[in-house]
Amino acid sequence: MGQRNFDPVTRRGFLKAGAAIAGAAALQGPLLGALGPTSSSKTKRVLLVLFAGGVRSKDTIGTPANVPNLMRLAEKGIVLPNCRSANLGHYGASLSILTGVPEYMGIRENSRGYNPTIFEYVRKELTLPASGAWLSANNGSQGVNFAYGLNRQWGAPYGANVIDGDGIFNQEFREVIGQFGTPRADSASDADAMARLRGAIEQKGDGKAVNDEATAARVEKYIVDELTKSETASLTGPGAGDAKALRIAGNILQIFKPTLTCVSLTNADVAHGSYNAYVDVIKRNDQELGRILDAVQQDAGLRDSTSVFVVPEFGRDKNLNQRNGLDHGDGSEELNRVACVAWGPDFKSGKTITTDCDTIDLCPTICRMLGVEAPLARGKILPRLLG
Amino acid sequence: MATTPSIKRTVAFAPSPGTVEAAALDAPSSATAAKLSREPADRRFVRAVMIDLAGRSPLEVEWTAANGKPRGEWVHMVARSIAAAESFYEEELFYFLLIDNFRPSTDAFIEIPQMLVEHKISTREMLRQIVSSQFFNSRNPGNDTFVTVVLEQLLGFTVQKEPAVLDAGKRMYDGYTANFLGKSGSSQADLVRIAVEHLSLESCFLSRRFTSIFVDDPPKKRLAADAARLRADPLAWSEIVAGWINSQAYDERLAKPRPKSDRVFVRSLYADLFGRVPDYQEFRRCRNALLALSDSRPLRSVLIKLMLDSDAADALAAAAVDRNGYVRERFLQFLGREPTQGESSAFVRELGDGANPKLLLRALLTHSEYQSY
Repeated sequence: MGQRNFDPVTRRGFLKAGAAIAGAAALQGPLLGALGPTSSSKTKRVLLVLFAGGVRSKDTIGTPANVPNLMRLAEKGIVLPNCRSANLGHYGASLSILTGVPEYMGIRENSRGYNPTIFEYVRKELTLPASGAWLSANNGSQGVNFAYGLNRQWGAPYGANVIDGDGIFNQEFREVIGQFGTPRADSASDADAMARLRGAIEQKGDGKAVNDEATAARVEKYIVDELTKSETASLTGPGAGDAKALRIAGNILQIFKPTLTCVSLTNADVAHGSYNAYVDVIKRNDQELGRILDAVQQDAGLRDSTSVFVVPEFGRDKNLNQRNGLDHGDGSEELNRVACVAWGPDFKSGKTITTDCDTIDLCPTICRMLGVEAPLARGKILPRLLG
Repeated sequence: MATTPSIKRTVAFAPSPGTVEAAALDAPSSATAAKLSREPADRRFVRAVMIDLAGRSPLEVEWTAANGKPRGEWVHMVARSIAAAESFYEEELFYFLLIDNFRPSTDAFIEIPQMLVEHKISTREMLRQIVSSQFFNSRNPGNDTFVTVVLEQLLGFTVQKEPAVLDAGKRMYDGYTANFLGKSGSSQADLVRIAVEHLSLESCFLSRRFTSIFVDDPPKKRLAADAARLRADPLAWSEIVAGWINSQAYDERLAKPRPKSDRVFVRSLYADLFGRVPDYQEFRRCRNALLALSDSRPLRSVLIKLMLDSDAADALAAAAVDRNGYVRERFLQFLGREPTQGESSAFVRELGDGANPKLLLRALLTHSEYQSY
């Protein structure tokens, strides 16, 4: 995988990250502060990576060899090493980041939250089509619940397009394709005829679908391309679900150029049974993150307008368990505090801000960057991020 | 490896408008005695009932069986059929998320649909067997999850409001003597027995089944009456649901199309295109993929194209001599209505200009109107 558009890991970066974890007070300051006028913001789109599944800072920015691409991001952007988690169950903690509210959801909850998500805030206020907000998830049964909450002032009409890549781009669905044959692209004349025929049907939909007809057609084409032209479905092995989620997010970013793209990862939770497998997942995810960053750098439509946030939903225990794995329940600082790395055209470069913050601050902060309010979010606007 | 799909169920705190009128539900439909025909209104009715009871569009043999039957009688016949029992059982498993690796696979469970048809097992006993199974236990490991799911899904409790009940259940699950829902026990088996015997079982079951058909909540008095009937006669489920469908309220419901679930969509697509029901693996692969999207419509379109492009759909797309008749029949089959003059003209014109009939089918099947019933 390529890393050519970002500087290599530097000793400075390593020392900086280490210092941040040690809690060196580099940039202490008040929590409240404005990001500055959004009208002058160069950021037009945001990629939010929930580097989740429970990932300790000491295994990421504390061990730069595990995450060269994340360190590259940190080198050019900012590190917030003292982000407090909102919840210690994967689902609730990830949902909290997306809503900006501590969500007391159980680990196996399988229902939507009460609160609007960042997707809803952004889509509603910016009047975006569904192609403007995407979530590439590896959350199995829970991922689609992130699309929108139950608050009726927002809700489904403003939800994200959620795609769980491991649920579609897998061997099982390949067998479906094998049964019927590889999908063929329409000829121009067939496409024209289809458009005429669809247009002739007089009863229209109820308008309640996430995607309008035009967006649905674009998503349909994207799925066919992903099934027939990309390598996503052939990704296998430990951490393949996360790798697919990141690969898909990168593709979506390039094709749809959404205002907001989110990736939700989970495979690091193999840590319960094996520390080594957990580190392997982190390394693989970092590689895939690198692919996205390369793609952003190479795309003139993304390069100078995309900001990236990377944050786990929570960390993991301080000490290994009896299986040489890591659980998440000891109440330690390693569990409760995570590092957020942010990079983009508006950010300060190479700064570590050790002020305490919360993972729920990301929702209102990102909204503000995009010129949107998040009225029900309880997080704060993160201070002093911009250059 | 495929991930476990979302159940996409309605959460307990999502309010329902509750607009089904008790009087309309209690009043039999005026068409109960009328004989079913192949006319559009009856086709729409047959299609909707089959989707509600069998989870899919009708097969040709079922259209034929319906033709000429008194409507009310036909509804009772379908409610007692193996197709309805199989669909009902699968929906219950899906409700409890007993799918994929957690789907019960022992002979005792495989036989449940046939036993339901033969009245050898009641609804309550089926639920007891499901909740007592190793599959349910594996799906819901640990005292907190197990007791929570039993209380919420089997009995309709909001656990956050009943912490003492949850605690008592967890103690009983762990083998300690406890008083759970007013009864004493000291094991996981005791807990299941007490839950299944609880008065809320029937009302919770009937309420969610009613909502799956009518969208809205059932009227309270009718729910109480039906629950009492099912408690007194645990084999009465098929009669109760047939009563709902033979009501004026169901006729009114038909006027408001509702979206097809991914499950109904996949099964109906196989029935409509290939004239058969998908086997479980075919169905599961498609459904799991659809459930991986917050808006499955684009992938539904991909599936439709895949199926239509295959040889298996050739028969349905065979060139028709009577183009008007072909177009009319496809509208009736897929959308449950006559084409308008404009629609008919446009579709016939495309056929006349040499369009592949599969394009016509695809236009109908991918349209939002086919996504509802």
